[in-house]
Amino acid sequence: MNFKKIKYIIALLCSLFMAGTVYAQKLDEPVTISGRVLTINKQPLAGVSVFKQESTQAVQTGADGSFSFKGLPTDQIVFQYTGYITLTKTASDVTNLTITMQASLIDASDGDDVYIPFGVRKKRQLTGTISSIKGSQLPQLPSSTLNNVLVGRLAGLYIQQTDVGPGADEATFLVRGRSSYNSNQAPIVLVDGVQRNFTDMDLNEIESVSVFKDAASLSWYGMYGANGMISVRTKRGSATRTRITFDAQGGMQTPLNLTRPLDAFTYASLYNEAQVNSGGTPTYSQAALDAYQNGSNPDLYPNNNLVDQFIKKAAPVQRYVATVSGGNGFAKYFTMISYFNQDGLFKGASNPTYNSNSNFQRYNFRTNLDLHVNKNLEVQVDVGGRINSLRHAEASTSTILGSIYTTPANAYPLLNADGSFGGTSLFRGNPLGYLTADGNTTDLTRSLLATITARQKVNFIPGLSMNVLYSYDIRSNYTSGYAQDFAVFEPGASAGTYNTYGTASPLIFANTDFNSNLRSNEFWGGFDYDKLFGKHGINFSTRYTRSVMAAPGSLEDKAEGLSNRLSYNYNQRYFIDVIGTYSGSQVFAPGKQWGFFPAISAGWIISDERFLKPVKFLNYLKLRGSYGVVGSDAYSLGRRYAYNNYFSRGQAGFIFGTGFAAPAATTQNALANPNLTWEKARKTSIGFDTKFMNQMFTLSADYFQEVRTDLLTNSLTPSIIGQTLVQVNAGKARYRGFETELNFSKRFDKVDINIYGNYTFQKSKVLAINEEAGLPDYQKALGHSISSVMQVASASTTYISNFLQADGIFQSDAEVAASPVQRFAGTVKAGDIKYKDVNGDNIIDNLDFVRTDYSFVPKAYYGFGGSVKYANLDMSFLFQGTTGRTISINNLVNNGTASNGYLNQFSVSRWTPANAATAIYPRLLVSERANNTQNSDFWLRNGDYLRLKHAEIGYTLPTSLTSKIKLSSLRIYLSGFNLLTFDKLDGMNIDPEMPQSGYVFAYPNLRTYSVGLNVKF
Amino acid sequence: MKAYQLYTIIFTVLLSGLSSCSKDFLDRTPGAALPEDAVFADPTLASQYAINAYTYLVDDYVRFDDHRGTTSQASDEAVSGNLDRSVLYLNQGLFHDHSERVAALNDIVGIWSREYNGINITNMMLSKMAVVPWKVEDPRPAITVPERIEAEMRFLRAFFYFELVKRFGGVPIVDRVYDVNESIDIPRSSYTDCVNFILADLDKAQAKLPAVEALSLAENGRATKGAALALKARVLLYAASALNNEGNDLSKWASAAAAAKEVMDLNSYSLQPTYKDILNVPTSTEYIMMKVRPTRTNTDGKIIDFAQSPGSAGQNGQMNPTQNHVDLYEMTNGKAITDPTSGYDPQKPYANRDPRMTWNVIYNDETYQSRKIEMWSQVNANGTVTYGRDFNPNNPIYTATRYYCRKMWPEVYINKVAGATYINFLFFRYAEVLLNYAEAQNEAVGPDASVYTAINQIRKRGDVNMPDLPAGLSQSAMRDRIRNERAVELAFEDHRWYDIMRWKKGPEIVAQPIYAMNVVKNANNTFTYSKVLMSQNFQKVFRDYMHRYPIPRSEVYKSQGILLQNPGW
Repeated sequence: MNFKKIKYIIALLCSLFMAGTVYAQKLDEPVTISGRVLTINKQPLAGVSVFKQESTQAVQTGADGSFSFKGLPTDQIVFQYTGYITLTKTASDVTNLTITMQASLIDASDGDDVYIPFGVRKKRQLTGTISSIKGSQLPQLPSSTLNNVLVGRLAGLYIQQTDVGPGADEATFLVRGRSSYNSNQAPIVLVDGVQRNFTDMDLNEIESVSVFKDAASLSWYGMYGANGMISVRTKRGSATRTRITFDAQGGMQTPLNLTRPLDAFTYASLYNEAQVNSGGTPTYSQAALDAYQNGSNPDLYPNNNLVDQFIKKAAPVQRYVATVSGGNGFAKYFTMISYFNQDGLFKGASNPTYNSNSNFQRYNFRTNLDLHVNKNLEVQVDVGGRINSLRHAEASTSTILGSIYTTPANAYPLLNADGSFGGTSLFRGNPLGYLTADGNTTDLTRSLLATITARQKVNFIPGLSMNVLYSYDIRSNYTSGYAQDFAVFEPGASAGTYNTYGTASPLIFANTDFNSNLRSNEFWGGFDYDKLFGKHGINFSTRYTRSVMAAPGSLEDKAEGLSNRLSYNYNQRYFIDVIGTYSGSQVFAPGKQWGFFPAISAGWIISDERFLKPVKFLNYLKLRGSYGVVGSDAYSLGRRYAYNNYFSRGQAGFIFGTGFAAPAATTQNALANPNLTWEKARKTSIGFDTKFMNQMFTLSADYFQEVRTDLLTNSLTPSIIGQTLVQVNAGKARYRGFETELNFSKRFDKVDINIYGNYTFQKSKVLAINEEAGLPDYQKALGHSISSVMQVASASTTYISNFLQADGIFQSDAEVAASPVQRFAGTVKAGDIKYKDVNGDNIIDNLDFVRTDYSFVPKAYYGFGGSVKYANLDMSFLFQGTTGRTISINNLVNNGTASNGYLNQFSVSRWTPANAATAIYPRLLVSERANNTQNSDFWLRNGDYLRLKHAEIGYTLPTSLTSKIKLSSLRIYLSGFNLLTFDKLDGMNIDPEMPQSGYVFAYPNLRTYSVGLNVKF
Repeated sequence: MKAYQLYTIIFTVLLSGLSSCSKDFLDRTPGAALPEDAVFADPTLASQYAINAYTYLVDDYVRFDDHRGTTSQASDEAVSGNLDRSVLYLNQGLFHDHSERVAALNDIVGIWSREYNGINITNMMLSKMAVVPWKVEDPRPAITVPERIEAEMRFLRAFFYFELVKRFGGVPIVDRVYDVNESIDIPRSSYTDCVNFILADLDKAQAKLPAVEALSLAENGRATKGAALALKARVLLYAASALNNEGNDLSKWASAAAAAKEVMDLNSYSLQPTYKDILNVPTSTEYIMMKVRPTRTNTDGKIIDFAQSPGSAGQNGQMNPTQNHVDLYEMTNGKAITDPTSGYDPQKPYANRDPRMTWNVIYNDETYQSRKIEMWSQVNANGTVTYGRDFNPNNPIYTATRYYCRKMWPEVYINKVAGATYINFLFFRYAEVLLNYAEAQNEAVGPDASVYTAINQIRKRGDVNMPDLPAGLSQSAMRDRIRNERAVELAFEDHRWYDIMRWKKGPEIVAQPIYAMNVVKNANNTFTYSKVLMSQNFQKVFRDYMHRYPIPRSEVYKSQGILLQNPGW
């Protein structure tokens, strides 16, 4: 006991090596423990894992079910085998005995636990729709977020990457489909039952990730669940096994797609062409063009390739994780510590004092404790935390990338002859200046996440327990760095003189700042009643909850609710759940804050019925269905308490006098809508789970529909009311679709094969929306799907639904003259985009835009992958793809400014009279470009893609070798991420998921190659 | 720990949680915000609410599309060098498209909601005058004098409605606060009814507003009796103008002249001796009402981003006066340059011109900011072309006309020097009142001596010093001279575009060929000037129906057929 305590404390300290030495001392007492494992039918069971409780050593039974190893007679021996009920025996009872293991019911074995809100069910008992994946099934990637590892793995979960780069790895999540045209319907993320970020966690903290998709699994969360939910469970210790693991990974990240800037000669030639097209005269003489081509005078005729000069071909990434877990009857523990380090792609970004290349480092740690205080009381104390340290140049990454991507090759020499930074009045953003003389910033974000839960059994009512959970999370940000500014110098009219732009300032320490302080607390308390009466199983749970989220400068956000769930099953064959939640939100007026969110669901294991027994190939078939209402108060109303008319004071008012101090003002806020209420999502889900052909195949499928009412939509009150108005709940929309998951698992002699896939299809429709009555029918959103095309700009992302319909490019001025007048630019000529006259008024203007169904959210998304294991070799891969998705290349092809003539790598494919037949884009112009930059379907492209997201090949050292170095296993592997992409972009070298990445201002999407090592002690 | 202790703890926690499931956990006071009753129960808060109505006045020159367009560029005064779309749409007659540009101070849809926002504040405040417990102690802070607040509310409401009728013609009259559940689909009132509504407010306002002499320096910028009378004069001038006075009812002109005369007779205002800094002084005897705004600097002034030559480190020199405008300045002898006897030399186009030209526009070879402005092109011996530092035809951020606008680019804004100055937006200045008087009086009774006096006063201003108008002008010749005087004196001050509309002269003035200057630098450093027609992109469209703006399309769409569109749109 004493010894165990020492080990426990050491493990708590997460001291890997010390713990290792402790175990090394443990091998003594050579008593042989042996026996045979049989099934109930007396068949030998091979491959059963047999080990001493709280040890790291295990053996497997042979073909005849026999096992043998050394231990103390007092040791607890554990027998585990997938699909069978785990047994624990004392060693003295085991020696030379036969052990009988009983098969568990299908989907009800130890590994089939599914966590539902404040409860656990075997997969078999589940009536709602929850897709889960275990942490152990996810690839070990040196990745800054967990967005990446989940993509394509779960049916009904769509993840769209929106940004990449150190510390900026971001994605949006969508569960099933879109039913609200007001928001992007981000699902709520829970970690261990509490709303928390999960993408910054380390993969090795994670036991499982589940997606809650239907009313039965979501209505527990009432007002907050309508958009679906992602629920993450962290790992916990085991009373039966002690395990120490160590993972190390090192890799390189390379840009997937990157601008190829024009060389000076091409740039100058195209610029001349654009000028002539715009009615000007060429800037560059033939002599200048020649000089660019032969590079004879780089000071006067520079030819920079800034992308080559400032973007690395590859940047390193590393990750190290150690975990220790174990426990005994009294305490179980899981501890982890990890370190992640990712470098940015900027080249030459350092000076003797500081480095401006972006760099992201993250430290995660976690200790999860389970304390069995006495036979009635269990307490869990979980403490997790992370430190994110993001270093970046003072100028934003988009500013620097913008200057690298879009500064013409001939703009200026990076350094003048006298060593000063080059620049001109038009191009002042010298990337070398940004990266070496503009300062840097480090954002240090520290988060602490703590949860305590207690479960007290009530002795006098068997099956009844009381439960509380309280969480305390804080986060703060600390900013520090160096401040500096640079000036650029342009040679003046006479030799040796310079015009300067910008003001250089010397290096100082930047002001430090604490900001973004957040605190959030959740409380959940209530009762559980779990009891089996013969074949009648009853589970009842009730919880009261309150949560508070506090940030300085505003009132806390609060939520409150009372959730109840009754589950009943008969003979593990018929299941029914009834869920009813009262949920309150502070967003609404007193008296209108509380809603009731009921759901009902049922499951029937029809394969257990006698009439299906003869169907031999069918091992298992469950039908399930659910219906219920879930709400969402996640509005972006522009102000809080929008039900209430009120005034703000103290804002800067109208200035009088001569002192210019703004006086206080009292201003009325947007006119309230006292009837404001939550969105109501009525969710239906019907599906089945089946296993057939000796459980070789597992197939699940669901049909789903959600109708969402009370969507916020614009008030149609005329503006002469003189007030801004809060929106009204008058909208309605729905989505429908289906999802399916298929799994194939088979062991052929020494080869283990697993193949899986998932596919989700969804379609949305706007059923009610307040639109201006006079809007032409073809511009109305009503009846269309909830759709828009995303156009990413450095300042903001716009979502566009209305497009002009392009009809190719005008091939001659005669054709222009014969066509309707296009009123977007003063002149339209051959080489400009031709648009269709939608309303037949012979004029192309804003009334010719048409509402479309083009959408950045795909109609269908899918993933498929597999793994093969042969002896010590293993291999796995995952493909992920989308169909029915549209992207816009408008801001890529038209990227630029008047200063660089809107020229970029795509400009070479422009229309000219000579290449009219092959031209892809309209003619070049430096001004009056509006005709060709309108949002039209000319710029839309098919955004479908199929991507080899991940592939890995690994080799596990033979146990004969590893045991010699006192390891239980050692695996080395090579893996790759974002390896291959298939798209429909006709060779246009852009990323179909994030078209802007690597262009305009955006960080390139990354491919990662890594080599890793996994050690288990 | 004993089990019962734990029971106690858990029960306590749960019970306290459940019992406090009372409503107050979610019922929040709005924090720092105030309910309506609290605002109008406090004279200081109430008056701060009232005063904030000033915010909704149209209060800057460069306002389209944030800071990329002016009405000058819509009219014949200037062009937008880089063809900003908010301006381009007005130039092309696509007023609806202009209004769909999302911008705070857009001249159609933006103005519509902005002015009605202001109107709502004034309506709310007027309805609450009796509710607020105004303090009676003496002396009481100027801000909480109820009579004055009421007068200011009426003045502002009149001003808001005037900004609407000057653009749209008759508009719906909202004279009270509407509840969100009430129908507010109100028809448009006639132009005359709107004017009468405005005048009624102004009459009540001017009676209670303080005279400018009574205004302390700390109240600079607040409404005065003079401002109310000046607004009345402008309202009546617009009402008498061709657009709104179809039968040319002379009595309308007479009342417009009388209203202007009333301001003149206050003897509170006089012309500032200097024209060159007319917008750049903190206060002036000429200012009747101004928008009080701190000085603007090179770096933060959006005007600078819009008007300053890139050769002087500006970001965008988009505000480019046209040759059409420059040609309006007389020779110092008082003759138009089109007069063969004026002595105008096309190769020395800027010599001996009305000094106001120098104060309003920047032209080639002018000494400005201690250097020569260079807007020339030069063909070198080897055939390559070079350009002066303030001109580059290949980049639209440089001037398109070889002029920059000095009123929007004051001389202190020098490359690398942190200059700061006022660029005041003037709601009313005295010279406008004189011009209003002259125009109305000339129409009402002809060019009598008072008309000459009014105009000649302006021409005789210290640093302008132009000769008097020749005696014996006919009414129509005088009309032309007054209009020319207005164009020159009030250039770029947000008047010309609306003047053209009220005169119904869009086709004659705006839809005319727009010219620029071409300047070639010769080998011997002399310049050759030639007037050139600007490219098609800069030419402007103006049809007769455009003299009134269209009602914002979205508002017409929202109405159940009650809000009617102006004809032609």
